[in-house]
Amino acid sequence: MKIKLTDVVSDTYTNTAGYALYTVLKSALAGGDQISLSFSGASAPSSSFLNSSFGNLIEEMGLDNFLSLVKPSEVTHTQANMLKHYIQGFRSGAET
Amino acid sequence: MDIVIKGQKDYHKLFQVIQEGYQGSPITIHLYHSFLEPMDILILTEFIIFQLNEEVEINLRVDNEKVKEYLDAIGLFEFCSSNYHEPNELKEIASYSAMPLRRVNRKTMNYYIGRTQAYFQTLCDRKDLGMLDITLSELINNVYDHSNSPIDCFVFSQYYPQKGEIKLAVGDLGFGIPKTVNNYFSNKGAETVSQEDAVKWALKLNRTTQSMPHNAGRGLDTVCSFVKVNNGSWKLFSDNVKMMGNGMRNHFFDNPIINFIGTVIEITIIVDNLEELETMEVLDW
Repeated sequence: MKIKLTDVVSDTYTNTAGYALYTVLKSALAGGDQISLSFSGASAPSSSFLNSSFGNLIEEMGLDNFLSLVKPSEVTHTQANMLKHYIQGFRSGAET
Repeated sequence: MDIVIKGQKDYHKLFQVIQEGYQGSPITIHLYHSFLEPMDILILTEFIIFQLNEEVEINLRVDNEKVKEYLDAIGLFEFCSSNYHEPNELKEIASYSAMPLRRVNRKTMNYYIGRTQAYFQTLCDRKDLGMLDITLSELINNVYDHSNSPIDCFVFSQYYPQKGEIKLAVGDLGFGIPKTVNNYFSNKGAETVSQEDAVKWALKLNRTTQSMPHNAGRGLDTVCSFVKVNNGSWKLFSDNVKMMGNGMRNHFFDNPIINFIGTVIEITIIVDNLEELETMEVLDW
């Protein structure tokens, strides 16, 4: 299943927008299918946005499960760096 | 009251007036700078706004004619007006390749960042300006999540074509990072730390999603990480701490501006070091 970020949220900076994405992803993941989350046309996400979306899902379903089911696509270099940096925080946290 | 500002150290006079709760005759600031960095502009703006909120009239006298023209163009003199209302529309200042000085909150953040990126994109063709989005949003979110600033948050950004740099600054008059971190430690029953150690702690990657709301204490770590990748630089002034660095190495000093209130962070992005604007089909985690 493909979800385009800009169809779901109007910004990628706030917790409110992040929570809106969380709700859509959670519903889509209930079917068990892999999701291609397109960042085409979206701004680079803040950690607040990611915490309310990806962070909530990771807390609920576990990091490995999340990474296997949510696949960001059409990302710029900066978006990719930010997403990897965010996930690295979970990996580092899991080690401590 | 007259306040003479000849250099950065003189800003302590502004903060002292805020701390002492001045109320009385108009304040005239005599400014003798020959060049102003974005953080200078924010410190002046914060003082002006704070005093206007206290119903103290402010006059700004600028010695250097070019500096005066510059401050006029970016909107600082307008801020001194007691009946000033920010226009809804944000229009770039092409003569200085800058965006106007703005009070930004969570509702207006998306518009401010979007307009700023769109304008700088015209000056930095094909460069991925995502770092601008991320650093601005992290710093603005930090103000609203942690600082409890009485004047919200002020933002200024400018492109310097000869240097190939974008500078942006975000400032507030809130608790400051050291107090915020130590309040967090105290509330958890942990021992408080020195102001310098408190800022160092805030720069580290913290996975504290359950105990801290919103950006989970990851804003400064994220900014630091992007400054490092860009080989840019940043300066931070908060309470008694001054920090300067390039992300890889951050150096800490006693803040030369005594009585400093809140936090000001200025970031320099090296445009040549930004990635080209292109996308990859799938991100390999």
